[in-house]
Amino acid sequence: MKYWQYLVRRLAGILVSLIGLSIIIFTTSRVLPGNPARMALGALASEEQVQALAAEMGLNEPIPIQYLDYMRGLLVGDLGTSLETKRAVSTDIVYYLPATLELITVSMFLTIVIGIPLGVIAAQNKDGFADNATRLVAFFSVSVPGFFIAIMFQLIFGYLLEWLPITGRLGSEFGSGVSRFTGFLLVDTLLSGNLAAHVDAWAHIILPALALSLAGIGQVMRITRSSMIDVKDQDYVEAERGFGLPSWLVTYKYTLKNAFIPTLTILGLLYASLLGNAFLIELVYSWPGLASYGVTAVLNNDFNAVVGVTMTIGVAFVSINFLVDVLLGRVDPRIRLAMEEAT
Amino acid sequence: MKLDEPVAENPLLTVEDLEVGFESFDGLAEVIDGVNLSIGKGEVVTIAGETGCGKSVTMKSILRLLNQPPARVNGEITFDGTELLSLSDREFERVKGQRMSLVFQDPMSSLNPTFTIGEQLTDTAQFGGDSDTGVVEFFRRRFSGERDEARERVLEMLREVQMPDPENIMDSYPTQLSGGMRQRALIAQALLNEPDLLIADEIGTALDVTIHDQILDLLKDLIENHDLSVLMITHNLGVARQVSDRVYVMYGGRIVETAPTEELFENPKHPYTQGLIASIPRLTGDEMATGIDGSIPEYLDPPPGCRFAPRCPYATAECEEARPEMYERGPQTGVECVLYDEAVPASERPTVEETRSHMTRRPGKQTGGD
Repeated sequence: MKYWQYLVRRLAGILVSLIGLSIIIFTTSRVLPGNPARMALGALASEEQVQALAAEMGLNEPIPIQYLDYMRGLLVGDLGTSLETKRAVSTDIVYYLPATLELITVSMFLTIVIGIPLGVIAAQNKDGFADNATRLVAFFSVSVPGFFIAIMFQLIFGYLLEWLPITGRLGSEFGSGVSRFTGFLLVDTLLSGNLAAHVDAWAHIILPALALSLAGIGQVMRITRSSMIDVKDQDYVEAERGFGLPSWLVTYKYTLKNAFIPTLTILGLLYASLLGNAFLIELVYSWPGLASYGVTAVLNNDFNAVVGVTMTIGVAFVSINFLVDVLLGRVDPRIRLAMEEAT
Repeated sequence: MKLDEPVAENPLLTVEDLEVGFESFDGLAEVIDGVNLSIGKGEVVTIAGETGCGKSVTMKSILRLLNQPPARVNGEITFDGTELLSLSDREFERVKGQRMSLVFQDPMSSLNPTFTIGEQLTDTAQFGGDSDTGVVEFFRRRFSGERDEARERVLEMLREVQMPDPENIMDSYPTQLSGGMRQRALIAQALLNEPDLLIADEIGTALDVTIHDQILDLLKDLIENHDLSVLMITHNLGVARQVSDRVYVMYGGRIVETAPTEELFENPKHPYTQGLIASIPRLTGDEMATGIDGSIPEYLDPPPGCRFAPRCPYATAECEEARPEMYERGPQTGVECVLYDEAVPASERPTVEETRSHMTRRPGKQTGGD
């Protein structure tokens, strides 16, 4: 079996698990107590109006029929209408998702560019000052909840030092100067040619992204450190050093690539927890993202929005883990080759 | 009489009074205790001895591969007139990278699994021994015509070690190669920078017997063609006999006997050497010794005198008191055993047969273990 065939098979499995997820989340949203039609119309609407809306939304059909209807809509990108915003759920998701993705992407980026080098440095100075210092930072960042750090950042950098804005994605003065192309403000500000707004977008995202990524930075740092130490003791690294290759080359090319394999797996899992943690961070920073949209939907029994958000997060999660599988196959030929030899 | 001069004629590498200790929670383990050895230019020398007797530690201290601390290395190691232990790390790296090379023990674990053979070997050909290369210079040279030349050199070397289908091997990963092919790749890697001294640790031991034989034959050819001086390390006396000019027998962190290969096998002197030779598995003969009774000394608290004394069938009170001298018994031949003092009559010195009779035996016509 070729590695790409394995990946195709993985994709099929992913599809199955997404269908499973959709069944569970759809059923749950439908059997929860509370009448969505009543929620939508409010307390003042008459019973007839509620009944009429319920019939229109198909709420009187058996759940399997409702599910099939929903899936039929899904195929053409119709996720139903949100009872809260009265807009199509797909429109809402397209509107809110980029803000969350942008936040998570910047967090991921920070996790990688801070976590991995610090892990390498800690491994190089095992039990030295740098190692102990990063260990302390890692314990702190993993054990203190993200929302607490988020509030602390606001207090320190926003309130006391007044260096950075503490809420929103962009200063109100730039509102008209930036047109929406992708929904990613860091991209849109550049596409609009508004450099000042671009800098402002960075100023807004850096605190929430850092608060969101701290726990991950700690984990990545520790994993990178311990796998670097493992790999450094391997015969092949000793041999490479023995042949007189430059030591930075041995460390950053021949050791780090092997040590990166467990880190990569952790990064895939971290992505999922970032999606979850993003909610609290979005709340603290009034970040108009998917997480806060989803929570509002849950609290209001906005069932179409709940299913839509859950499915979106599910797709994002499996896509990232699929991407991790592809990358693992690239980084570690043993995984690829073992797969090809297996059959 | 003591052997004061290096044994080798025209020595390339001499090790004098090497002492290596390891700090541990239980105290200092004195593993290497006063080792003297030398390798002449163009000479192939083997250190033989059972596992745990200090062969690899000796090799690693020559190559500065031990972490200090916990290791403590004392003594004098001279390579072609340069005292190695007093060099700075940087100076040492240069000497090592350009003039010494090593073939590691296990071909399975000594190639980096995530890079192709071509990538690793070409980097070694291009940057091996240039440990000062900075990042900028690396990238400049890496993407210049020099890379293609280096690649050609690797291909040529792979052909020389009789690697089948070298072009294809260049793009393969180590996991795709058999043990023998990996061993060939490692030998090629070790010879890429034309070293003067090759250090080979248990070469081919991890391979099956026929491949092992092919590798040793290959090694003999390469030694001749590249005019190499070689320090081999092995627990297998058969390997020592097949390849080397001269053998050092090591026990408990000391050299107990040295002799030209033929002399050593025909006329082994030290009871330990005799025991080793007596326990080489044989397909014929009535009885076979299974090995020397007992085990290697505890380095935290070694025997005060001769370290072999607790296992030696001929040991006397004298052996347990003081370390015996190294007695010269012919050209390039020495033995560290009181039985070889000139005062001891020749008739009292044991033969291999006599030593065998003191060892645990089992009926012959069996193929023994290792």
